[in-house]
Amino acid sequence: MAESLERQLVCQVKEGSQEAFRELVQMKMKQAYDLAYSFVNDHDDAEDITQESFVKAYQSMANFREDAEFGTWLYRIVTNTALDRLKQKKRKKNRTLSLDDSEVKTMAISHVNQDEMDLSIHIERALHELPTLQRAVVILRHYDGLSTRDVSKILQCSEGTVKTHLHRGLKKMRSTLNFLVEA
Amino acid sequence: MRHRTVQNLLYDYLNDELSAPEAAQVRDHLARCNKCFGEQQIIKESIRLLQPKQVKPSESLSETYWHNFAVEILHQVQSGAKKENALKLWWESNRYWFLSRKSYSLSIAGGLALVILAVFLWPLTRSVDPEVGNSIRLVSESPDEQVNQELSDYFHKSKILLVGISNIRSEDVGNIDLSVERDAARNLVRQARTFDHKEVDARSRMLIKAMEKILIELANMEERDGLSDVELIRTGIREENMLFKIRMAETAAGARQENSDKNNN
Repeated sequence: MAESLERQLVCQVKEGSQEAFRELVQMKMKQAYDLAYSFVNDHDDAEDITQESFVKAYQSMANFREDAEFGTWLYRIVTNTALDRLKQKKRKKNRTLSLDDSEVKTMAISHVNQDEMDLSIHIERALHELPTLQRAVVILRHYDGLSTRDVSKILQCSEGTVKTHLHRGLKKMRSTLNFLVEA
Repeated sequence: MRHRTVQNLLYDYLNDELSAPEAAQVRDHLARCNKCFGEQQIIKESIRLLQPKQVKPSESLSETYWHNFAVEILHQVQSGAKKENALKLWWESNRYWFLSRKSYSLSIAGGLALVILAVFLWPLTRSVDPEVGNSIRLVSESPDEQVNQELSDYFHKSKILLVGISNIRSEDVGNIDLSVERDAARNLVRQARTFDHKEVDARSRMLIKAMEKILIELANMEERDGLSDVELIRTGIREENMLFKIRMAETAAGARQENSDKNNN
């Protein structure tokens, strides 16, 4: 039901309906924001990435194939925009996760006890230390619960590659977490 | 089933996402293969540690925020559409003028191209490397003598480690024992943590944080690691220009120490 509504809205947007686009935005904006946030761990950046992604989606709507899923397509745009943003930030400054930033953001997200907050900070740090593709796969497959097939479409790689990166990413995170917690 | 195939299926297997025949094959393999069983334990622990967030980031923002968010996106889309239309309109009304005056059009285009080229090339004419400039400025800062000595020692050891990693030949990777480098990296991470509560200048602190990432990668290397992992670390060292930065920091810390010794004498 939701899928057919989505298809209808996409058709209307292609015909020029901005009202239909507004409805699509309202349906998908929170998921898109959560995905962007997973990559950048910063509200302002996640907000920019999400807005930029929707604008790109609107501008490219003519190229969108109606038999494809809008959600997967949007996720691909968000992922690519987030990865571009991370590359830009990496060029500008050192590639580290500021402990202060992650601490503040984690407190803003949930009320947790000290041990959970420490673990949360370590997890964010470990996640951001993964190579880009492994990080993207862990976020999309593990945290967002997307299927291997959907992740492969978003990242435009084979399902085998997704599985390999997921396995390596999880292994690496566990190793980094053990070390960070011990240290 | 091959080991690599089983390992790649472990996540799906632990989440009950495999078909019954596939799950049975994985189960049989795990019963016979210690290595893959070990891998399963690792993935199991990872899944346990990495529970998805209870509260999604979007849920911490108000409905008013989301209403305004959607409005802002529509506004951006509409202003983008208007700009595109304005540009089209301008071109439609002026294109005859440009097409009928080809020499003028070419001159204007040539002039614009020169301006754009100048804007891109200008940064290359800057002679002072900002990294050198920043490092030289460091000399005038003076943290505590003891801290200075510790910083100098830390940067010196980090430099030796990075030079060692950078000099490993590609053909030797996989055949040499990296346990010394790994242990050195772990000691340096511990040493870096001691600076958390000490008075350290901002530049050194940033560099220590940047080094920490590389050191953690090194510390997590297996004793005989694969080429791709070592190459990844070396790429990180090159891209961040870490060797240059560490050398500058070591020089600056040394210079501060000399100044301090002179003042004491």
